[in-house]
Amino acid sequence: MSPAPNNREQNPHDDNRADLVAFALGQLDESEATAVRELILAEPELAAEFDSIRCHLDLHAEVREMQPTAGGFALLTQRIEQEPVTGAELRMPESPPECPPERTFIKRYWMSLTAAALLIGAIIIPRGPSAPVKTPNLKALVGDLSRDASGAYTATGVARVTFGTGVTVMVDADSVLLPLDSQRLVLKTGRIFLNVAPHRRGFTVLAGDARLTTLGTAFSVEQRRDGTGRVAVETGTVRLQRGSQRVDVGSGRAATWPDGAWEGIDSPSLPSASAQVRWFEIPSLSAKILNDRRIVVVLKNEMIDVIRLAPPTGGEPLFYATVGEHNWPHEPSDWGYNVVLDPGEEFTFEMKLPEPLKPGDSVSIRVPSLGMTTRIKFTGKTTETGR
Amino acid sequence: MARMQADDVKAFELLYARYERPLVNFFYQMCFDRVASEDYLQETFMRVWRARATYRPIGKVSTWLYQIAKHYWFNEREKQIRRPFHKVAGGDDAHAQWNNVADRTEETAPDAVAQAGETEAAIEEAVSALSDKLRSVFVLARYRGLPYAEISAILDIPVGTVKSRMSLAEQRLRTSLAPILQGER
Repeated sequence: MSPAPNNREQNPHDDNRADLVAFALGQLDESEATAVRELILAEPELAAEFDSIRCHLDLHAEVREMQPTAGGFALLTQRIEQEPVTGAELRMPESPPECPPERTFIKRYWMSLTAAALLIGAIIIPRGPSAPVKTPNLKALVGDLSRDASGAYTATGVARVTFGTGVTVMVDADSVLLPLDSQRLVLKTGRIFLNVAPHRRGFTVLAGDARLTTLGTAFSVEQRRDGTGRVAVETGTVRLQRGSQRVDVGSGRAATWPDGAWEGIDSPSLPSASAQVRWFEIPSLSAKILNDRRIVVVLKNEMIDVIRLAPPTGGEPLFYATVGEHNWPHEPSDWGYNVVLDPGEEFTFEMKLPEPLKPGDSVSIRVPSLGMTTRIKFTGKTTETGR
Repeated sequence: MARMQADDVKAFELLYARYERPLVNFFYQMCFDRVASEDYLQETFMRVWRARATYRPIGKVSTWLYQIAKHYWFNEREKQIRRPFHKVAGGDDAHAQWNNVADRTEETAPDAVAQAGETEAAIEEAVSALSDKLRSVFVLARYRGLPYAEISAILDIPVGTVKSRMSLAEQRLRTSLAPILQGER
């Protein structure tokens, strides 16, 4: 049996037991194992000790292993690509089989991960049947949503991302985000609001060097261009992690990084905190030209909460149709005060223009109280705006 | 490895696929925190990529990877101990939450309490109570099934020390888990 040199923790009396443990684990070579086997046979006390060790080590067969989350390598390569250090730039292999020359491996990788849902204007392209994970749907509610070569989306207005996992993300204007998979999202800059069903724990937002994991919650995340960020939690709890440090940010609280400041955004009931967290209370607006005088306007609550429209004051109409220099107000006859639109509810009405449209005319439909406008061009036939 | 050193991403991906699970489970069995383990895995492979040029084919790839993982683990532990995350504007409870968070990892990990069976939870608690030195040897030998010689190279300690630490870890765990072991007999 071998001695254990240079071992400050070693007690000479433990030599036998150390060998028994090594033997139980199959760590000894043939000659050592034979020696231990003979020792066990010769000494009943050692045999009993060996049985005890083996029984204990067998118990550890019950220790759990974890399955790594899918998409880890994609996240890794994205980080490497962003890293401006030590020549860590990823390069294509010398002989790519069928890769177009302008694409890097990383871009190809991202395309395969996120390709199933791509928004062009306001059109949702449904997920492909062979998508390995539920790919999020992205939709511009105001303005546009464009996708760059890295797969990141930029929202010029408010947009919505719906994950097929009970997670809805509202995206503020001038935000850049990259959905990784059905459970993870990178917020590069800007502001998002997330509503995660209570049973959907573990949805993760990566913002700067912060990692936010939901524990069933509604919260907003802001990542600024200077690298600082903030999370404000309306309900539930969000786990904020930076490196090995982490904290659970509870309802009514906010935290910022990188300074680690902590603040209470308001009382737990959050009347004003709610205003800080929820900044996207707008519906979607679309229009359709039926003929040269009639336009159908649809106002729909695409949000996750009730929309309350302020009543017109001082005779201010709720809608305007503008064609060239003409500005026609419109007050729908069945439109009352304190209008409430429940989530998913829509309000449709028809405008009749006092003058006929000519092909090529551009019509702007405005809702001043919401600061929303949609534009539509009359081609001579029925024309529809995107939402 | 040679292909990866030539910046071949596909080779890096193969390496990742081969060692993702062993390494994430090394971290997981060191801390029993899934979220942290995923992060540690990411950080380890970031370091692998950065250090790819320094790899020399004189030992096993797994040893090199575990060495990087081990360095990262011990560095992070050192940081946690030396520099608890704080600076709080108002709220004692909030302050306490920032500072105690490392200690609460097992307590608050969503999967550590709700899903674990009684035996698994007891084993995790007992292993977590070991010192880092003993735990790293025990995890690598018993859970990762690595030979003592490789553990010696990974941890940069003599094989005899691996052996004695393993023996000591086993003894302490057996004492901690005595109620379960007696119940099984």
